[in-house]
Amino acid sequence: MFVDETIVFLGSQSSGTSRDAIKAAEEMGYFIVLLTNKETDLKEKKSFFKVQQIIYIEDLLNLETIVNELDSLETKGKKVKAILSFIDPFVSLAAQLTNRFGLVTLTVDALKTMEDKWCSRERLKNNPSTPYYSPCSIEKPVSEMIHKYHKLLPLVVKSPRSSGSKDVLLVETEQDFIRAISYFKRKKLNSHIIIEEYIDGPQYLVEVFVCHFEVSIVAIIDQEVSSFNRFIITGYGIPTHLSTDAQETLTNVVKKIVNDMGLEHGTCHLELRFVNGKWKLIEINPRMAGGAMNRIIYEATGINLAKETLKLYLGKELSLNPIRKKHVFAQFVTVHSAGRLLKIKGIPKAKNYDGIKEVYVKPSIGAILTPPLSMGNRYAYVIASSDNSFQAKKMAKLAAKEIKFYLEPF
Amino acid sequence: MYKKNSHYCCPVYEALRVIKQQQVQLEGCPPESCFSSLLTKITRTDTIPFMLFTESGVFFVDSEQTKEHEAFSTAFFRLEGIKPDSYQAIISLLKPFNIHEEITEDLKDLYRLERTSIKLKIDLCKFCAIKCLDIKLLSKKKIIIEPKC
Repeated sequence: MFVDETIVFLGSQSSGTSRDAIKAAEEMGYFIVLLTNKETDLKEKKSFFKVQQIIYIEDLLNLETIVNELDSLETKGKKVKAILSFIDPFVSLAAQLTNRFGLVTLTVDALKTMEDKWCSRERLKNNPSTPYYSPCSIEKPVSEMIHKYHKLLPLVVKSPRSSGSKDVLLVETEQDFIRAISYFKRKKLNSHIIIEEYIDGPQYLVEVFVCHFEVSIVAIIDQEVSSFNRFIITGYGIPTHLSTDAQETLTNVVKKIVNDMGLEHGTCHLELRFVNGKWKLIEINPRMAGGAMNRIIYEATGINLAKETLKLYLGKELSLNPIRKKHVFAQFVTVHSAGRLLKIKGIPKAKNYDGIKEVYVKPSIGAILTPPLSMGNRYAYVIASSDNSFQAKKMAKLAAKEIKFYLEPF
Repeated sequence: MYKKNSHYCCPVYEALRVIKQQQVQLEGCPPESCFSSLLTKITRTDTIPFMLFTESGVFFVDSEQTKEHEAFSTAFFRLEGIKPDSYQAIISLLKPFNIHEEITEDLKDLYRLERTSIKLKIDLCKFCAIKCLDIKLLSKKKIIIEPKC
């Protein structure tokens, strides 16, 4: 391995999947470059200490600027071997750069489509897993919208560019509908929103690898959704308790979706609900899930999915076969009141429960905590592993209860 | 020799007199009112908390249990009135809480103070020192511990 063989990351979170990928790249002996549009990343030496070079680019969506930076890296003796991102909306851009630099051939079009919820729905409009959806201009009078949709309530109203459940609202009444429209008007995110049928049923996350047309379902994860009028996932369990039949139909449905999407080489994750024996696609994203997902899958199967993603982008042979079978549950912690964080209690106690693999607390003292409006407002998680799912879930929930945030109200 | 009941035998008297003057400036309309003083709006409190010291150390008062309060012990007070002629003062007890919303007697654990209606008449000449505390202790709201369950 030459020291100048380089992996370039477009954006990274300071924890979770993208950071796990950086760690894996370091273990594989690559020189790591992080291109970021966040000035704060330049100071995050502790989080990114495995990154040898961080380059700040104000407009990280500007392909030509990035190409110039990468050319400049190559003139300095760095051989770029892979360019990738685990962050929306840089996934398809990284794939575009990958193709341009003649590395592996990724399906840019499919990845780009998945970055936009509306384009995804349109691409899959004839797929049986697609629920009812409709575009809606927020400039239209609200009364007209209510007239059109009130018979279809409850509905889900979302922005085409939402991620992490941000800007995805459950609308149960006409009043909710008016509030949702006013929310999107205030946020000025997009002139159009998507109105979708609300699917009520258990939700599952499916991690998918596509390697030269061959679709592999790497993991199916049970999701616990806490829904007020936002969809926040507070629990993840693996393996699921799906029947063989349901798993079989899920495999076929996922393969059909990936095929219709046109993904030939790359990764994605899907969220589906199972209702009356039928699978309905909630959303599809052009990357593996972020946050704790890599660790959850690793603890359950021994597969380091972030590392396998690197290998896919490097054109190396994948190892997607489980090396262990454990029951794993991850419990996330949210708060119901807003305030400034003064103190965090209970971390050592949480770590002491049987089978606890990780206790992670995100905010620092002084941070503002709020009730969840998106997945980003989940402030801690606990991952527990056991030989049975009941025990893993019980331990994760008990340990998570030990974590207490002391908040100074406003 | 100092005369009994003079400023000289009551070293805390002058400090309390100034506290009283300053506290008057904080009183009146609530901070949300348009007509309250700018000082009230900024400080959002009407109390300058303090501690008293005798020659044997910190002056503590044990409250009795009332309808409003459990019994507690405190070394933190509010000045309610002062009688210059007799060198006596009326003080009220401030209920001291730590970050866990438990009663604390320790200054280093003190997070906030809450006013009570428990009043006490004191002879100022008994005290040799006084310490003013941060007025923010009175405007701090109850800590929220999350998640609740």
